[in-house]
Amino acid sequence: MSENALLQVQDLRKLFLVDKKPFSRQATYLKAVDGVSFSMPQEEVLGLVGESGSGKSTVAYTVIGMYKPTSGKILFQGVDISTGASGRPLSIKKDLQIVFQDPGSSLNPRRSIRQIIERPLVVHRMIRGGNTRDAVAELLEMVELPPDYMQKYPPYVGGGERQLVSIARAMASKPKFLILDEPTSALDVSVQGKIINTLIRLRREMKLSYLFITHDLSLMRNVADRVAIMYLGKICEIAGTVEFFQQPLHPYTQMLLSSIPVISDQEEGLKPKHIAPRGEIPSPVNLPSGCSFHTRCPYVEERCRQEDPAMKELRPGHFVRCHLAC
Amino acid sequence: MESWIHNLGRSWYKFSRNKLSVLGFLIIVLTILLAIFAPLVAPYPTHSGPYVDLVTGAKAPTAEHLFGTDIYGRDIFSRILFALRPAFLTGLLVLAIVVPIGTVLGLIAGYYVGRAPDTIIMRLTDIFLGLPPLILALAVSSMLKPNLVNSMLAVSIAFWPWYARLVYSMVSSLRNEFYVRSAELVGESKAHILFREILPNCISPILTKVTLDFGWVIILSASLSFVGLGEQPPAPSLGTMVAEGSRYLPDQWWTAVFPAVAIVMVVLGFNLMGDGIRDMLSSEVS
Repeated sequence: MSENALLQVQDLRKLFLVDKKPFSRQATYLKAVDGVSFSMPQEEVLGLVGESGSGKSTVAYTVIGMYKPTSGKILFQGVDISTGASGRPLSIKKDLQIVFQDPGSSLNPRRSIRQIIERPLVVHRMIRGGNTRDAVAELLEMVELPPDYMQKYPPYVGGGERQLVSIARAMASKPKFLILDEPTSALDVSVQGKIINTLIRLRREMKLSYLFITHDLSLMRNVADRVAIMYLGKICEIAGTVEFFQQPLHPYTQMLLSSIPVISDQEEGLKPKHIAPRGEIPSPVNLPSGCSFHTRCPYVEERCRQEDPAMKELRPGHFVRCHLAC
Repeated sequence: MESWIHNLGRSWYKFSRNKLSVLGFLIIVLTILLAIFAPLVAPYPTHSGPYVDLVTGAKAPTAEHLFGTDIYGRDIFSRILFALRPAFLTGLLVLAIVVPIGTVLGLIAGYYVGRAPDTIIMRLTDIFLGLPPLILALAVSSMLKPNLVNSMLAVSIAFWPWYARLVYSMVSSLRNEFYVRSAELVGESKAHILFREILPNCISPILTKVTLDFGWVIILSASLSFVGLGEQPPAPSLGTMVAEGSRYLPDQWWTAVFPAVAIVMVVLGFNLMGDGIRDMLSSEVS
């Protein structure tokens, strides 16, 4: 699997300095990502799910190069890209793109949509001559926006349309891999569906791979091939989507799945045994000893408080980080 | 094209809601026209130079000499009109020097916030900001030959740090906007990111500050010529005229008061107009 992997992340760690007293060696760090490993083959959609503060966005930003990893490795098509974006060759930037969560801040309000979308084409020399008009129109068509959007400025179009423009910009350089950082969570429910359907269609047509960051578990059922759950900077369960939803093994996954709101009793029956969510996510500055989930786990044992569980492959392709799961 | 005119109309509407700003705008337009057409408007154009007529010297305002005459018999109204020219020229040239320098330094320091370029540029800026502008300009111009060009240089040295700091404060927060991140991740050059992505979002406050500073530059350069470090006599300059006239206060009050009023009008005009421009630009869709 690691031979033809598109993206490999090995034991990735990212610490942020919170506080350091002058003339003292002691410093407080926030462990945003604390030993994350996963591997993605070509044309896969991996859903990375977690609560706020779980470190899922930090994983995305480190992979894309906005942050330099504190330790660990990121390999893209076998090439080590564990540097910040400034140290990466242009060819990597062409193949690896991102769509941000907030479409209000990800498009420059002073640049027209045409100017925004044409930049990747110019930077990566994908256009001959100066006329980018047709290419930009094509990209707009790809996300089902009419060509006259070219002259508009981002503040004058709706949130969903702005996000489609963001997707068109990310697609302009014909990347192989797209990171989607909660692309729908800032939008109205009515336009979320359109964005998701566009992303599913593009993936099929362009043979893309997505690292889909979200806190919306139910969304992953339709979009992801595999789902990984993050808790306090660690992946605690990763499995194929069907198995993930039918046989969740980690107590945290069970807790999250059982708290998804549903409309009918029929759907309620599909959910795992109800586990009442307890407590709040602890501070990533002061991590709990042992298993980081033990403060909220209903099945907690003495061992969980002492010893941090290792990742175990309990079924083929189904990894869990829990002492009790079997 | 139509939308451009439409935008202009809307901007004027926002600007004109503040009646004082319109007044400021009118004062500025009027004084600029008077300065440009001074040789045609001034009743005694020759009085702007070395002209002496002791018979008509030190006369109070009359219909013939609206603002009276100085001790050499020169028409003060004419001299004020001619003195507006170096005043506006100073404002224009000083800002033309100061704004690009301060903006570029602020862009670089703000983009590399927390890194070496930030420390070097902003600590240097702090040193200049630590000295009161008038003292700094006085110190610089007293080291140089007293003339108009050197006084502009001295004023420029006092003004660039304000632009560096204004732009720095905006850029250091704008650089974290996701559109800037996005440009970096696409692989854009630093020049594109600084001048095409970030700078257009800083234009409004720079423009507002330029209008407000126009008045301050004129006051500062008038202060320099008041102590004899600006335009040299017999060429007319508002600061020099006030300085000379103040020697004959209170008997020949008109020799000092009218040039002083001219300074006040120009500075007030720019300040009122600046307020209106700030309102106009700040309520734009962000």
